[in-house]
Amino acid sequence: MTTPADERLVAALQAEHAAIYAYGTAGAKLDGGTVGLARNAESAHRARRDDLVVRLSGAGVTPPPAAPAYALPFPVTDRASALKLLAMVEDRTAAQWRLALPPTSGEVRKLAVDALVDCATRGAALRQAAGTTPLTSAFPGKV
Amino acid sequence: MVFTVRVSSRRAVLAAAAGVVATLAACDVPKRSAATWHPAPDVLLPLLTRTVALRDRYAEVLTAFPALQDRLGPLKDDHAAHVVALAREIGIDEHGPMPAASASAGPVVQDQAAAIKELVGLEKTGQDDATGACLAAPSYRAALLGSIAACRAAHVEILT
Repeated sequence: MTTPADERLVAALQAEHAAIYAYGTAGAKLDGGTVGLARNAESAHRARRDDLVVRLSGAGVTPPPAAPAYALPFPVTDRASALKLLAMVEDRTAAQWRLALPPTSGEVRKLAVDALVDCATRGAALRQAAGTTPLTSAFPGKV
Repeated sequence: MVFTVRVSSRRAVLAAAAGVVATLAACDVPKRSAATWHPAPDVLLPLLTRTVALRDRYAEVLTAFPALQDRLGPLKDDHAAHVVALAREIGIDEHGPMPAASASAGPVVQDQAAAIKELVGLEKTGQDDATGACLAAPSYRAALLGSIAACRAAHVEILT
């Protein structure tokens, strides 16, 4: 039986799949320091994805695979649109991890809060690189 | 016979419930009296006190270095929003007096870079503080506390 916590982790996994796709797509439009930022972010998302796959499988839940492609909310044509997309992806991933907090406890909640913290941190770094404001929100992941 | 008894007891319960509702509706209960429902102080009270102190430290740094307003003002506003959210969660009137820290943080240092460095340290401590509270919290408070931790982490990112 799938628990509410498992359902939230499945949703978080789907968000991580989408984030990995977005970094793969937008990465080519980045330059200088933002390339390193994106590379680190993508590898962090992959690590979270792998963790979720292992956890869900261990709990007897089939982890959903990544979709072959994801529809982008707007065309990514340059550095500015790439950073905008990635900041949006971090916000959306943060929202899924935030939703995973209430039904979890112990080390799984720790995983969720660490992931939420990382999404918010990367989102702020991306907005800072893009020169957009506000850089932060008071309640990351709250939609 | 049993059926009659059940009906009458159900009626009695309904009547009693209606009486309670009428009594509650009739009372103009002041908001702060909600605190009397909690026998012990709320476990989030120390976090609220430290959040007030963090917000106020930003205000002090901004008074000392007004040129930092564009950079620090929005962060101070985030902390002010946390104070309001935590006060509401605890059941304290957010417009009333807030719990104050027992010890003052002392005067702001003369050097701007050092003042920012101090704020970074406070944000890091505050992030750990909120993360710990999130991990210990019941379900209904976990999202709020997790977001506060994440916000403080984002502040560290943009100040360093």
